[in-house]
Amino acid sequence: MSIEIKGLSSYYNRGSVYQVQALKDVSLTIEQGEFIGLIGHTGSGKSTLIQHINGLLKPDEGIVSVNGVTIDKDSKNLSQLRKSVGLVFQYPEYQLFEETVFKDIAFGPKNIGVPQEDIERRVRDALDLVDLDYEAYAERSPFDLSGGEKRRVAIAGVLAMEPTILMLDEPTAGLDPKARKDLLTELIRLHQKRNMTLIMISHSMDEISKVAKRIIAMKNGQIVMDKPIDQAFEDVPFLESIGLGIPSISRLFYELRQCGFHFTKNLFSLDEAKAELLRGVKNDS
Amino acid sequence: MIRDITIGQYYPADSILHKLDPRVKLFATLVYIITIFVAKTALQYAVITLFVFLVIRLSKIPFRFMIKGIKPIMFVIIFAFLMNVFFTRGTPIFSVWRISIAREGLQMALLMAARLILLIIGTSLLTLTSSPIRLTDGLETSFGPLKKIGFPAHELAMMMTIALRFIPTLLEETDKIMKAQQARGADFESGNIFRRAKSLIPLLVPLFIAAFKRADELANAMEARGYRGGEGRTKLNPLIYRRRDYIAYGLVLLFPVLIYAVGRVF
Repeated sequence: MSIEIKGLSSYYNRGSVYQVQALKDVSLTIEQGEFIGLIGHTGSGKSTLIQHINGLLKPDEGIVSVNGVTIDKDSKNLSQLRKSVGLVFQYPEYQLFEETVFKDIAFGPKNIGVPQEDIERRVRDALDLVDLDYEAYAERSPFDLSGGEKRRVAIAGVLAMEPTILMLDEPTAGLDPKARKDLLTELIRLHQKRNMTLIMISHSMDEISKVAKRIIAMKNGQIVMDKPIDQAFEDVPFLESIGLGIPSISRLFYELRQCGFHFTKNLFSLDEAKAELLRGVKNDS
Repeated sequence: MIRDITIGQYYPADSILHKLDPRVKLFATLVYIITIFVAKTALQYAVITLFVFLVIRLSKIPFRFMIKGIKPIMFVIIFAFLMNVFFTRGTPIFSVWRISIAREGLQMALLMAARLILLIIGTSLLTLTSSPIRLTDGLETSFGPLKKIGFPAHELAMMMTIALRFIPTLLEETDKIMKAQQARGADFESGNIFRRAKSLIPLLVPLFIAAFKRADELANAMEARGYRGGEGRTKLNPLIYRRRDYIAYGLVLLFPVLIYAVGRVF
């Protein structure tokens, strides 16, 4: 079970004066259980790419195949696909509409034909996954919640569909530091517990480096880098040339190296960095 | 989809029509509409059509763009046509079973269809060639004299500007929420009319909430920048008549005279 994209091209306003090519001949394979960090500056085609993966957009050229379901120009009836591919948009709290949190989270499962007796369990599980107490929240109106809580309810609404692939478009944008940290922890937990494939778009390299295992960078509708996390932040000038940065820890080691210090590994986690720095200090003294 | 709607859209181009003062274009549209409703003979319509073609050429707007504007209301045109064909009494020229088509009916139907099409093309030329800001500026100054009797010209113009400004934003938002709900398995396309109407709730509720929130924020932002209505307000780009505008006024006034003459002489 995996995602396979071959020669995917996509246009907006095709055939008019405003035509824009959003994706240019993108090919990509993602295996079940991977945690992908999708980076690239605004307008590089990240959001367009993930919308193709659950069939909201259809390829103008090329094919997208997800868990054996092929999406091409004329594909119809993609409900089967939407069951297995969850997509959390930017600022998902704007999609809340029901009177109660329970009803809103149940909207997705109901649409894909989950039997009534199973819905309550799913809502419970989903709320649990985003760390909200079922008893306390289920009957509240989603519009009375705080921003961070709304975001979690919206994400729970997608999780309740129990997808095997979950894509999130800047899930932490606009959240306060604590809510951000909680959300990332929850994502890691989801990834480990359910062997879910996760694709996360983010502009924060610090965040990405904490959670993702593989980094894909896009520019002008093309994939310009696709590397495992421990090699992704090596080529700093290249990343900067496409309008991206590197995580703060990688930045620290990069600068230290520029000053003549020698470190063998590329680091981006805090613990490893601490160990490496301490080792360096001891060697010096 | 929703983005295909061209009525009320602005098509930027560098043409004499785009450069004209919006007040002239508003006046011309008014005269044009009256002329269409007064015109009766086929020859008059032929002349008006010819004139419309000429203006489209002058505006440098691609012809297929105009056709696109008619498509959404094609249903109305066809409906009006059929109603007139079948329900006007007169000399029958064709009859099958209990249905008969009268000569007068056919004439009336063709007339109505021509009127509607010409009306839409002509009026959409106004919005296609004038940016929303210039258009509302034109409206405000045209209605300016009525301010003395308490007509809220400035407020109406400001409301129009804001409404027009937010059409694309709302369309974008609709698209976004629609996709988000589709990702949650919502189906907007199938089912009977009641199911479809019901399926719109998950779209409309978030859309309204967002729109009200935005209105609130906009009101605050306007007040923060010192907006307090039209009184004593000056303009960055005041509308000034140029020579081409006076010439255009002249031509616009000649137009109904010409059409009237065509109707009388031939």
